[in-house]
Amino acid sequence: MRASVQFQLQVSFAEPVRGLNQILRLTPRGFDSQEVRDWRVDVLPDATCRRGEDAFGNIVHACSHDGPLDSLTVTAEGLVETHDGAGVLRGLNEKFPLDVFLRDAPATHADRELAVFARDALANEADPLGRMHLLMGALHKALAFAPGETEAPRPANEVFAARAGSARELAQVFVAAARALSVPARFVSGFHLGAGEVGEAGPHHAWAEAFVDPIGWIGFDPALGFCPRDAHLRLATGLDFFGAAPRRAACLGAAREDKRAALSVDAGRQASWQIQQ
Amino acid sequence: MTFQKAIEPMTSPCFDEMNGGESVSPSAPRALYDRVARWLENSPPGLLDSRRQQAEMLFRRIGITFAVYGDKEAAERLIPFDIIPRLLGQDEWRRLEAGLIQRVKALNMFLTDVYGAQEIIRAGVVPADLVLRNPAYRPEMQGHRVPHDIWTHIAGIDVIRVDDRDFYALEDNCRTPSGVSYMLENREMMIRLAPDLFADHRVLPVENYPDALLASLRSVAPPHCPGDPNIVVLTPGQFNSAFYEHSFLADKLGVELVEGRDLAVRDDVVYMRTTEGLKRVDVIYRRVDDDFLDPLAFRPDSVLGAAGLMGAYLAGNVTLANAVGAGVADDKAVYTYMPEIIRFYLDEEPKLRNVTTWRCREPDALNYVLDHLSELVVKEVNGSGGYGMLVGPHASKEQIEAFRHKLKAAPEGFIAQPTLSLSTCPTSFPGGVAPRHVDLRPFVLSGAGGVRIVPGGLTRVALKEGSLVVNSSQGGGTKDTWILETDAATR
Repeated sequence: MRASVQFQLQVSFAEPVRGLNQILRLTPRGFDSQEVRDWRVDVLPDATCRRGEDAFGNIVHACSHDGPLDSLTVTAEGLVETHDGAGVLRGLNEKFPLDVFLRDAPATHADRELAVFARDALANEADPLGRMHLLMGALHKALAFAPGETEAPRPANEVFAARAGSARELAQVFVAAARALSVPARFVSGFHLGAGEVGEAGPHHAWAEAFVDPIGWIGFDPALGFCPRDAHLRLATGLDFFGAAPRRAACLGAAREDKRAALSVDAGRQASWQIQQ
Repeated sequence: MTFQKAIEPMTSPCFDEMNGGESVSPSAPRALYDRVARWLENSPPGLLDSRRQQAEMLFRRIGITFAVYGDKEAAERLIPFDIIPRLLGQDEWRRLEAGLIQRVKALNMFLTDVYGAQEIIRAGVVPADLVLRNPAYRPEMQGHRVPHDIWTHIAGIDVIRVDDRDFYALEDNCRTPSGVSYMLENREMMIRLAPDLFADHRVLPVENYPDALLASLRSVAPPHCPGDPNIVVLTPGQFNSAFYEHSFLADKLGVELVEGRDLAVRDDVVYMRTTEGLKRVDVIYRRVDDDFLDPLAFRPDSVLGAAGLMGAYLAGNVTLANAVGAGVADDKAVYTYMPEIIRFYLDEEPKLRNVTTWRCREPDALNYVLDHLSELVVKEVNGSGGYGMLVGPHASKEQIEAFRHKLKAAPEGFIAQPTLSLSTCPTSFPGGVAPRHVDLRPFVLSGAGGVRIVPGGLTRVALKEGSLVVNSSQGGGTKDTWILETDAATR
């Protein structure tokens, strides 16, 4: 689909803060099935937004605000054209050897229970792609998708034990399970361009990618139960949520943040995902 | 830093640094120690006891304490100081120094490489997963170059000896090695409590350590830093076990001691808050672990670091000593590859020996280790401070079986080493003197001008007879280490 996308986040503080630093991963990178044009990220009040690239190749904007600050707005907007590539990523410059995506970390650690579940889900399937589809299907079935944005998602084990979680929590469970099967996997943060349709509260969405030999990186969306289609706008990737988070901020002075996020998608042409559904 | 020695002092011969060889005849000390031996002989009974009490009182008055984690009885405790110095001859020191310089050069080259081209991995010398899946490896640092390619500015290399010739490197500490304050305080204490003995020896000075450290830190300031760099020591705060050392070093260096909340990052530049407003910071000697440095990059719940610090660091606007991610070089599994690492980068034979190590990740090694658990020391690859290790000869059957279980469940998390006959030094106890096992942690400084080591280090001593662990957190004590101007052989 071809769409003009605008994301806006409004943050207001219960009490003015004395300063704030934030990093934003809100700029999609182009690859074969995702073309990006005229993308820009702005903050209000005005601050220098330094654009850079992190070690995983994500485009990052960092900025500092001096206080007192009682509210701020982040806008990310541009034109994108996405195609249904069955989740296969082509045309991305990979920065790391696969071993990095097998790292164990608290957020994506699989305990015995999850590891056994992952192994059982494979049901003797030998095909690497088939195995990941089985894993996604099993997780989608076993875990309830409870839309909602948790600022800090619970660790994979906890979410698995609770059998329910938000999109980012389910994505971390998938990553943990795949790694437990020795399949390199990573977390992806993005937008679902039909957010209303999938019932996620708020515009953010998250899914996972697994390295399927010999095809390469392929996206799996355990919350929705299918591979990313053209409604998935891929923003950033990391070893877990924290490495790919759309926004990380810390402010000076204790402050309760009230956040409102909105995504408006203006599809220039009939979207193919609508046809599929 | 773990000092494992699994020698049975009563049954196995071990090298005593005063009495030499395997003979334990106090009548024939090594030439190096003859004045110490005479001093011990001539000291009236009770003198050592009273000196030891004086030392304890002085240490308490200075406030040099050490917090022990997991010990509710004594949140802060003194590390016992032993009044009998440990001596090394000039010739012995030169050999050790050359080995340390070589090793630390290789460690810095290894770090430059694994965060750069990864040639050592591609050459198949070190397995990829050992580096890339290592918890201490920081993907955030991949592709980043640090000033002068120095990653471990202050390294603490734990060294042991088993005879009068070879030194073994037991463990590398590339992150935030502690203990240097004891090296400096112990010297002051010796001069105070045993002035005659000190005057009787020509001891190379350690007092210039703060100057050398300051010079090293200055030399790695960001390239565009104007004039005199502003250096600070970053501490996690007074509840950290080494807080005394942090404040001690800031004081000796003549720089500010700061906590994370004293720092502010604006647009990739780090400032410290002062009464006169914000002042730019160029070099941070940080004693805060990687995980806690920046809530925007690492643990989001950390309040010990400064938000945005990592951004400023990656932008090259501030230098962190030691560098983020340096810990991947001191991993106990990477340790086993140090001889190969030295040959790979320097094309030299290692001058310090490595202790024979079985990597339990390798099936053959694992089988050997499982068959010989009662003879070996088994350590967690990512453990430190002597926590979570098995000292076979001193473990009960139940402990060995429990460990066998852990080992089988996750063999890649462990290495095993033989129980070494660590050298001993005479150590004073109420009512007498007895040999106790020792190790040595010299502090190796790397700067733009090369590698430098102040002649000395922290000698740790296992106070319990037969104890195999000298870590201060496990009841070890310390001694002053005297590097003499004279050779051990010719005195």
